[in-house]
Amino acid sequence: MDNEARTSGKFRRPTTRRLVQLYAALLHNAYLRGFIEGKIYEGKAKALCVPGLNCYSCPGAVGSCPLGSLQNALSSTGHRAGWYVLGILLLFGIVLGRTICGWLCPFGLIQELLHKIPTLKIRKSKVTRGLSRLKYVILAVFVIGLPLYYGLAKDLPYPAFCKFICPAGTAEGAVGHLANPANTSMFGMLGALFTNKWVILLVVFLACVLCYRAFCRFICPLGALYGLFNRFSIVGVKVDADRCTGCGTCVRHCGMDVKQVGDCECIQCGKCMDHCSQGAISLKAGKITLKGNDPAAAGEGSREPGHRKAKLIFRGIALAVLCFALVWFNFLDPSIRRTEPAAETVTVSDAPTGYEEGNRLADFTLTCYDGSTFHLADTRGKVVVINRWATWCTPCIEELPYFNDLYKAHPDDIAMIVIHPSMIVTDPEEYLESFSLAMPCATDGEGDPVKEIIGGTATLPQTVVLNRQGEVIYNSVSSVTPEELESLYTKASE
Amino acid sequence: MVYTNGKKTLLIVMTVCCILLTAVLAARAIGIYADGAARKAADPLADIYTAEEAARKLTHALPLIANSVIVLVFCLALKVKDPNADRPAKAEGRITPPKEPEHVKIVQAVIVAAAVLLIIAGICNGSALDVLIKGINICTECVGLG
Ligand code: SF4
Ligand code: SF4
Ligand code: SF4
Repeated sequence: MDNEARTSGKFRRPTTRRLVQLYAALLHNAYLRGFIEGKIYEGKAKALCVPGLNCYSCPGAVGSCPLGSLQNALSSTGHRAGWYVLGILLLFGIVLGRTICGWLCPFGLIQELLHKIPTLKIRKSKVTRGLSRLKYVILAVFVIGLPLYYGLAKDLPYPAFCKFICPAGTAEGAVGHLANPANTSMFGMLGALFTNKWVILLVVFLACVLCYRAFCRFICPLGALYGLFNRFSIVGVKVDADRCTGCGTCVRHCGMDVKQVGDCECIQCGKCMDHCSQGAISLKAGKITLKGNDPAAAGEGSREPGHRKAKLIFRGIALAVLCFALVWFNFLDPSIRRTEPAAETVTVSDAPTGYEEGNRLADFTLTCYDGSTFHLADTRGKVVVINRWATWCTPCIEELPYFNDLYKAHPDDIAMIVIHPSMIVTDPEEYLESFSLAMPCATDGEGDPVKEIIGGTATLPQTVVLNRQGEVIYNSVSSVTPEELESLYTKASE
Repeated sequence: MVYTNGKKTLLIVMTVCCILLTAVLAARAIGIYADGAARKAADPLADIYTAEEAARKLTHALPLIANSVIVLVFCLALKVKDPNADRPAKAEGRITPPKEPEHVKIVQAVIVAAAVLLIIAGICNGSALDVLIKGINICTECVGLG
């Protein structure tokens, strides 16, 4: 029986693998509220990396992307070694290897579904096998080399793969947010980078329609990394050398560019089991056979009442875990930082208190690193520029000098403050020393009150400009150029 | 599956639709960018992309999208499929049966132990917090927003 096309009458039943893939995709993205509200999950579970390629900026993601985390860890090598991410990747690799690709990765599932679109298909050949080496180059250059270089030489977080290539980030993170009507303001920040990544996403999707798992085979550095563990992984497809006759049927039927079952290109999907006349291939977890054509193994054995019962219990537990995750992440998780409306404050102007254009901001006071105090109410008559940035945000760091230049050009006419969120990875004060900034810098207070006052979200950088009357004339989450800043100053001065 | 000329034509049409759709959606985005960049050169405060412009350009692509969906429905209903897709690849001859590498158990134990130690070291040195902070904040550049 062909497992990938199991039919019962007219109804085409999904295979166990497909069900596991759907289950894993839902578990990776259990924060369903994020899709409705257009926000991301901000709870503590994000300290854990998920096994598959799933962007942590996806509105539904409840865990962090291992590839993004690895790049950021390498970028911050100058401050702190990223032992944690390395440990997690090692653990995933040695326990599951590329079983993650075949069974758990949400982006792998997306690619398989795209490949279901009936078109002429490109089959594997020497060319595709050659192309499959490309992912190792991408791993070396974009995931390891560039982030490490920028981190060590320039002290700049530089997730090069995320920034220039990752279609999962574009599809789940960028498009996931832009598609929500609550995020129309995000369109304002799109530019060349988005255009480039949008085109890459389209090309990757087209490639996946025409060619089985094109992204996994040719581009994905995470697959390349997990592939290195394939031979040693505890869970995986194993070949019984005593039964195998070396006929090569398995390799011929495999959609990936494998030379042998279980090599670094193999995603451990187990499809080849159905083609091996010798029953030599099985999916194992250590000594336990999870799936196989061996009559003594689970495939046949599962017909025994004992096995059936165990299977039923396992499915019940899996379902309970999913239900718990959905309820926990969407309703119960106490670590989710829910946005409270900013406290009503009495202002002297008629403009309502808020953070939209035309509003006046609620008052706040912050103590700056240089010991001075920034009190918003004391800035009347000046143009006010507030910038939210973070040490881990590349565009934030790149634009800091522009703010500094603007401040230095109009020191007596501008009240400026750059504010770091209260969660600290690297001490911002120490971090800023190398920038020699003239304007006041501060860390937001406990619970990020200023973030609430200026309508901040989890997205950085954010810039707010107030005119001399204290009214908001600009409030945007996006990078700014020196020209934009100068124009904003002119507009605010009028 | 009987592979008639009609089915073959549908398959080719579907392939062309996919390629065209990709090209059109990419061209639309490049078009928005080119127009927006020119606008921005004149007025630094102007946005390159706007939700309205994106919706307008997407609307232009709607006939092609609708057309592709109709062809797709036909293909699925008629179970049209590239007959070569499931055929085994030609190139491979006989293969050497893969052998389990030596000392697998030891390697597994060493790597698991190293991984656990690294995770503990990471929790102690704060790199686990790095992961959390990066995960709960959207870096616009990372996802390609800007
Ligand atoms: S190769 Fe990458 S994208 Fe493909 S399944 Fe594996 S981790 Fe996911
Ligand atoms: S199909 Fe079975 S017998 Fe043939 S080479 Fe593969 S594992 Fe060995
Ligand atoms: S060799 Fe078998 S298990 Fe590995 S990817 Fe190919 S079909 Fe799947």
